[in-house]
Amino acid sequence: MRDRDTDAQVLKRIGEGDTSAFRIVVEKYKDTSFSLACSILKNPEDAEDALQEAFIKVYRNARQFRVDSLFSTWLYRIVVNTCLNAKEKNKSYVQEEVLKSKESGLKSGLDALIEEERRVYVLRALEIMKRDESLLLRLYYLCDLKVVEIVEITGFSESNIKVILHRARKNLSQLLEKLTGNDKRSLL
Amino acid sequence: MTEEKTRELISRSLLKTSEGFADRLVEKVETQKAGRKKTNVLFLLSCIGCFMLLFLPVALIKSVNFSHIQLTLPPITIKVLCSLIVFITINRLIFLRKKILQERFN
Repeated sequence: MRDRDTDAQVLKRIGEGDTSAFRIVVEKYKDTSFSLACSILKNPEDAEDALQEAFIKVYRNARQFRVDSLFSTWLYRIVVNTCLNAKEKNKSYVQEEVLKSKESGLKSGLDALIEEERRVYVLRALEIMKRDESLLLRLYYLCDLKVVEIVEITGFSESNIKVILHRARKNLSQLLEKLTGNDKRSLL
Repeated sequence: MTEEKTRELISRSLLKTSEGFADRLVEKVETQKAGRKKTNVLFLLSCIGCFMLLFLPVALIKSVNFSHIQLTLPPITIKVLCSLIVFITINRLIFLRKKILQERFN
């Protein structure tokens, strides 16, 4: 509730043209939004461009935000729609680039290496998966949204989301097994 | 795979934007904001200029009195001034539009 109030206050300031408030929102949501954008566009550069466009839309339309709804839901809906439009414009994109991964925090040699390896496998699996599956997995588990909120963002029906999520979990498990091969026990 | 395991795995998939992403974005928004303000002022000026050019009688102001000197204007002066203002502001507006379009496609 407090988070919702803070977001609403910040949004009000953005509506008045305060760019420092806009920076707060960008810093808070840029990474989760970027992950969602990558799920759809599968390319970091395109995802960053689309994300920039999405945040500019947020800045311009901040006054239209209704306080009774959740800001994150509104933002993610804008991000998803902007990325889908970008995807439509650029259908010829070849899905080959491996997503760069960066690890934050200090970890000792081997631990950090294993962590990084796990992360690369998960990212690779999400990259190979179908767009809707990886998007829903991230919305549900990474952004910690409820199914009802995902309905609002994607426009899919509740039952459809549950089916896709179930299928996505299964696919993720299978893909990780394929990708890790013999290392699966030690890595996952 | 269990719910917790999936959650734990997916939490590893958080990707980070490139360095300076927020700075670049805020800078872009500030430039656009300044550009929009400038465009509005120019648009208003050109509207006033057009209005005066069309509706102000030619010989309305014949002379301007300052404290020591009196400046006598030919009847067409105001109209010429308005035409100049409209010409300059429209030119600036076209230039701004070009600049905005260039930024958008870069």
